[in-house]
Amino acid sequence: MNGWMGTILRVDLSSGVIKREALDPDLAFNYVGGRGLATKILYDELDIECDPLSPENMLIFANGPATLALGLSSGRSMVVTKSPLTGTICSSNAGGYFPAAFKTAGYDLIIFTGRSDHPVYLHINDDKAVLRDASDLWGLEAEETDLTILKKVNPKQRRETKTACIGPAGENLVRFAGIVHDGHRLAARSGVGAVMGSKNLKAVAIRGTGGVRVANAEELLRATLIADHIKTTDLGIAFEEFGTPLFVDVLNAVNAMPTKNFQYGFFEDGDLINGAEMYDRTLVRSKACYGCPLNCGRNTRLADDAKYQGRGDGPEYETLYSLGSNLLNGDIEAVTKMNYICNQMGMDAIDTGVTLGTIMELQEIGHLSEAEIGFPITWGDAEASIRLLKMIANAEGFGIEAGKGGRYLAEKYNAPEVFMGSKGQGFAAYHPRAMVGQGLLFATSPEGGNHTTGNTIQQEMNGIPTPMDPLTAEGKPQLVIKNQNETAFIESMGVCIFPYMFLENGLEAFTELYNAIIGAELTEEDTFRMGERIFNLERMFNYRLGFTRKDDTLPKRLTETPHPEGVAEGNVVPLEQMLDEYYQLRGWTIDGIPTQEKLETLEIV
Amino acid sequence: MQVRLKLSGLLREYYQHRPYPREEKVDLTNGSTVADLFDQYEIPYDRVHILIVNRHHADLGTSLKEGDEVWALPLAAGG
Repeated sequence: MNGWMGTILRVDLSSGVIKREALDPDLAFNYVGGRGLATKILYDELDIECDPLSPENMLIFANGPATLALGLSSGRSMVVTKSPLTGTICSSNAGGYFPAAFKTAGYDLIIFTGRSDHPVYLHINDDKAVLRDASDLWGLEAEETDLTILKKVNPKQRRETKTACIGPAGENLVRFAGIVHDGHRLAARSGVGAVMGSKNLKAVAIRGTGGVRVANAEELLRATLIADHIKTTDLGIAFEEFGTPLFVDVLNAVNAMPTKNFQYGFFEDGDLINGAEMYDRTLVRSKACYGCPLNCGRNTRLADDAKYQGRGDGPEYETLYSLGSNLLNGDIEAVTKMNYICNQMGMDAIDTGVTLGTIMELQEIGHLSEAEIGFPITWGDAEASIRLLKMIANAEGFGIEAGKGGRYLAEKYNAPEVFMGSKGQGFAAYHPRAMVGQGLLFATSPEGGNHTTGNTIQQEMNGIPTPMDPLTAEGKPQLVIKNQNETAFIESMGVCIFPYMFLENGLEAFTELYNAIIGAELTEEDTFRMGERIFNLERMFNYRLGFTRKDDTLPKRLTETPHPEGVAEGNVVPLEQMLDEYYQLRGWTIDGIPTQEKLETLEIV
Repeated sequence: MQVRLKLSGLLREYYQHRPYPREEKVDLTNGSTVADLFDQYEIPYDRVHILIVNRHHADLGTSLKEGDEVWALPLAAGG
């Protein structure tokens, strides 16, 4: 099977039994890999009504056929499960070097079920897979977990062994805990780390020495030249120099940088937390995931004589919003320190920031008292934010409640409108009043406020390939459907979505790559349809749990309160108008339910 | 008259001072346009993808007045 290792590892943590089974080639082809394939397995096997934090939930680590195959940023894997934050299907994606090790060891998927009666980690050394006691690892932060495991490994095999682990946040079932690759890089979103913690699974450590067979190596190498081309453009150079923090200025300039819990779209102190500021003050070096030429990662350090100290990765643009502008925090060192804590505790920086923003606003409007939190936490207060952040990760005091997320808190304190998210997941760093297509994306994403399931920035903000008004509904349902379907295909392949977003016709490039890897002659229409199949399957997973149009919502702040300033002044998100057209174009009912005819067309049974 | 110029991303190489400032104050003759300002700074027009004057979209022909903030940004994509 070109592109595939051909083996699924099934680990029942309740009994400790580990089994291997052959990958079904038809299933793998029809659902592409990663997110798509794992969703199909959950759709068929999971007791869908289960509590996401119960032993019945399944946690799937999934590669795609392109993972490891070089060419266009192919060092990604996904974690797919039922989310404890949203109650929906979710897929959380990360890179680093863990995905490549996972695949070289010979596995396409690792499926965890049950719950161990004591902390364990799964140690894989090529075809040997063993559950080991992790009692001494429990409570450790991410990098310490990584290093402690590596010390237990034969020194000759240490460099090739890569880990994915949870930190204290995952152990304490924080609903937005993530899974940390290589001690620093997170599959952050939707609470996948809490599911891992609920299973008493501290880490997966993998060493592999194999390779993957591809159908057409020459074509595959040709695809890498596209990446070389990206690197020589202004955008590619800027991406290496500034990373995603480059976008602070862009989003701020067009008033789409969420500020003060989405009350505003412009942050006065944006200049203090942008890519240039990081380049000049905190950047040590840019770094890349396995098989990627783009080097967008930020390895940073805070000076020994600075107010906050440390070293690590980040922040990315998303974090500069969530822990920066969203909280009126214009101190780059404070944002960086908070990011380090999130990484080491194993916590999604986006939902951490959204939760803190919810708390600050609840306190400001008098719904949440200082006494309940234990101390005042006002806008821009980095010290109080850091204190609360640690309380959340360690499940101390008010942190236990805060660890249930922004939606929970906003409802508990009778102000549900102050939670800035959809389906319980906080929004990513794009203010929908200034780019309404992104609002439709957030509302219809299978797991709520997620920007990686079809980001519209290239079209809405950059006007590529053709200029588009970001403030009106015109063309947005078509755009969001296009991006969602294409992204579902591309992400499921096991590649990063950045090159796709940089190319004028990303689907064409990735269809060629996919063909070269698996040895097919698919057209863009074929791969678009494969992405559509995955997206509809996710929709059906959620529909079986009762999710319909009533759940495809945005807060009233976005749909009723006019944008106060700048290029988007006076604008709101025309969500209902866009949804009507979106459902119709999708072939769904007016309530957002895929029709039988649509399911048959897509061969979803 | 004097205006404030902000250059983002790689465009900051066109600032006249080092180390790079966050903005520069620029003296212009009355009646100058954005194009005049870019010419004075030798900024290639095609490297400017988003142009903002006083928080609103503008173009090369936009006339400037005392105290205006001109913000030029290169192409970028999302993350």
